Amino acid sequence: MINFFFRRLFTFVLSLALASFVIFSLVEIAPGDPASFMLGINAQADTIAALRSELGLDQPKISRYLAWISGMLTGDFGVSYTYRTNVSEMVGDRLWVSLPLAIYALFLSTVIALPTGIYAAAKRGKAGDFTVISATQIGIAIPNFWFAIILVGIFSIKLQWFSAGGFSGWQNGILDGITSLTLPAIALALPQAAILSRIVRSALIETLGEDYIRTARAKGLSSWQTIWAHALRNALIPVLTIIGLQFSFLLAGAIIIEQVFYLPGLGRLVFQAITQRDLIVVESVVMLLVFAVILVNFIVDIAYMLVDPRLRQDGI
Amino acid sequence: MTLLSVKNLSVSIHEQPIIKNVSFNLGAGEILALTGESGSGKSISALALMGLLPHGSKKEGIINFEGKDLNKISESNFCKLRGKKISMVFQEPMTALNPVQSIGKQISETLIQHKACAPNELKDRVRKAMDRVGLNGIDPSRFPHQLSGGQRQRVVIAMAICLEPSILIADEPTTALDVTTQSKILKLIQEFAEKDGISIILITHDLAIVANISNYLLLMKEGILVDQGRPKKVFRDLSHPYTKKLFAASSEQFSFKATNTSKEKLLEVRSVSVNYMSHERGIFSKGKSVEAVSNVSLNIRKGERLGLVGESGCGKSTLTRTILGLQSASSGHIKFDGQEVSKYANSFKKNIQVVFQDPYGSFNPRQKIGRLITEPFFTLGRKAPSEIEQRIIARKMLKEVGLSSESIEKYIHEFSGGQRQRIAIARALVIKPKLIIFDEAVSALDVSIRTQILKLISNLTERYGLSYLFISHDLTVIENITENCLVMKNGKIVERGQTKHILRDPKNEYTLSLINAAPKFPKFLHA
Repeated sequence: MINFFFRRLFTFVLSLALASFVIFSLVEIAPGDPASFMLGINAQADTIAALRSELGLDQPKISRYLAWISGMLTGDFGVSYTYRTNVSEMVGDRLWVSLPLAIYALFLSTVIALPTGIYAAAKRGKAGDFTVISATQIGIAIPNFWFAIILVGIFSIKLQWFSAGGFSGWQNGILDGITSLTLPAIALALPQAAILSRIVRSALIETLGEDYIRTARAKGLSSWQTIWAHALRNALIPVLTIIGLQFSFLLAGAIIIEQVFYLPGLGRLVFQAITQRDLIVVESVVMLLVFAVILVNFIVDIAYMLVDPRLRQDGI
Repeated sequence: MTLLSVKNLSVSIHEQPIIKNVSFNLGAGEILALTGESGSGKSISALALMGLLPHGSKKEGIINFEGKDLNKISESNFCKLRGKKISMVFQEPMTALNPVQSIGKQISETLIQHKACAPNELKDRVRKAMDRVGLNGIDPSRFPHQLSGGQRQRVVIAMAICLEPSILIADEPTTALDVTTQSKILKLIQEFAEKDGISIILITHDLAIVANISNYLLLMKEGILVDQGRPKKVFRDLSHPYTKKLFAASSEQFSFKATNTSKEKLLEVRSVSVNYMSHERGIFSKGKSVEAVSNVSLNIRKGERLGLVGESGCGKSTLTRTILGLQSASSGHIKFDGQEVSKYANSFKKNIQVVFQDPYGSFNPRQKIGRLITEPFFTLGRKAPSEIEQRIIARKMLKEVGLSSESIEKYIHEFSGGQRQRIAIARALVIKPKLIIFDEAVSALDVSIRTQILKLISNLTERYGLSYLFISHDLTVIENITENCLVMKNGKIVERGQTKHILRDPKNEYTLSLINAAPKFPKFLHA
């Protein structure tokens, strides 16, 4: 079990190292020189060269890569080309919006998906199942920004329960922060919940066909008892996988929702940085997102191990 | 005293009748054998008694148990009976247990569900149940994957008997187990009837088991009860033609003509060992190596028919894979027709063909039979005959194995298990190999079909002068179809010689235990 943990940890570190290399190389290949972009089309060649050397862009690639990596390890993400502020501060501010939003949305998605998925699996082929399937079909088909617009229409404009956009920050209290993230979280969560609900349903139906379910029934357990005691935990592995993937998506992929609700999140930061050739910000944010994805996968791997004793044995 | 009485039980699934008007009585302490070939409705009958029929089934008739009709009681009342009064053991011990719960927890679940004892007694009760089924010394906190197939089946049995039910239904409880384990489990089940007075409904396709341990037998065919009675009488009278046919197939000893075995060696295996790296290893340390095949030597001469006997995990399959060149040997040499196996050219591979155990899993379901049978021609590359010639050969081969040549346009799902195995044989023969390896090729088949396939193999090899290696765990099969045989245990050959001599007068203790454990018809029936 400890072996398993360390081997996963090793893969975790290795993936990070590889990812950093790939990100750095891709940004290097991308066209557009930050210095000439910042100075505009009419800039003199020597001014550009001066700025390049100031930004450190004239250094060899290897040393720039190493400087970037070692900086990140000590918490120094460099200075933004455009804003001339610390990247770590910029990213930190945005993270306080994006991370709670992602967790909030994931929580909602799981809370909706588990009961509906379980209910549909237990009632498979019957009216309840059909209702859930139809609802999830709609949830998957409709894009989340459209949900967002509908939610704003109903809850902000009609009922005036929530503000239509913006983020008031955490300084006015947690409740205030959560309230301003509620509509975006719901808009993000609904399509994810629809997908997850289907995964829960199909994983559970598959598990319910297993022999040990029949054994449990032969012991005298009712069909609901069988689901709780035996099927659910076995069906959890595919569900955990999807939850892990969804979290990564919610963290990085919320850009459209951030636009709709005018939230200062990571997605918008990357978008702006790309259009302004602020490569150091792009690199840092992408690296951060990759870190989050790999970390979540690592946690999911560890969760597998807790769920399934077969994986606790070393070697699998 | 009648404990359970079934009258006119019929079950249909999605309007398709599965069992029709089955009636029988079960007395206290009796072992009732329910037998028949696959698809005869044995298992569905058992599930009907348990009230666990699959979705979309309808049942009619009366199942009278302790004055109640089980077809009429509510689901919640049925839950109170299951596991307490009527319990069940299933065929596949590998999948019958929840993989993520400890065995102790799964056994205690029966006790908790029926509130059989106080929480502080639970541990003792679980221990007692485990000891009762011969799991002494096994830690209840272990998980199913840490146990062998036989041990898992004991766990399932422990769950079923821990509340001392009136009826235990055992659905092919030993089919997936080795012969030696099988005889132990059967003895255990017999004990429940004799010592504890539990009535047993034993579902099995094996007539020898029926003859040995049951008090009464019911023979089913296509959902209908065709014959019943005390096994002694039924097998002696053989009054029903179907009983006669099955009995003949199960006890048949057919002699096959000795062919000219030349001195010339076709396959030569010289002190071959195969090691596996065990998965248990650290990040940087190498794993322990496990010897799956250990210093094995064997020869197959041209025209020779050699058997290889052994229980699961003895290294039979690894040896086969090594001979086929699918796995490399750690040490030793394998020569086929004078050529080192590791240097097999593609065109050389045509000389060895295999027929596998599972007639359902070994074909691509999306290809037509014609394409499936002519597959071996691909190994020939440019030397392969033209497509038209291939089709002519395929048609001819299908006729040889007893199928119509029109089958060439069909898909594999349109055939039964026995027919599929015929197709597998046709596929092996089509390229005129010198050696065929039959890897448990008849183990998944019903007795009557098994005999047909064995006869077919025997005829075809005589006609084509083929050599084969027949791998099986079943001694009767080996006896019927090979001249010489090897007995394998833990990767080593423990005995070799003429099949007849080995079976009559085994020198090795292990061989003797295999022979003794195999279910045989009692002596009186042969007279």
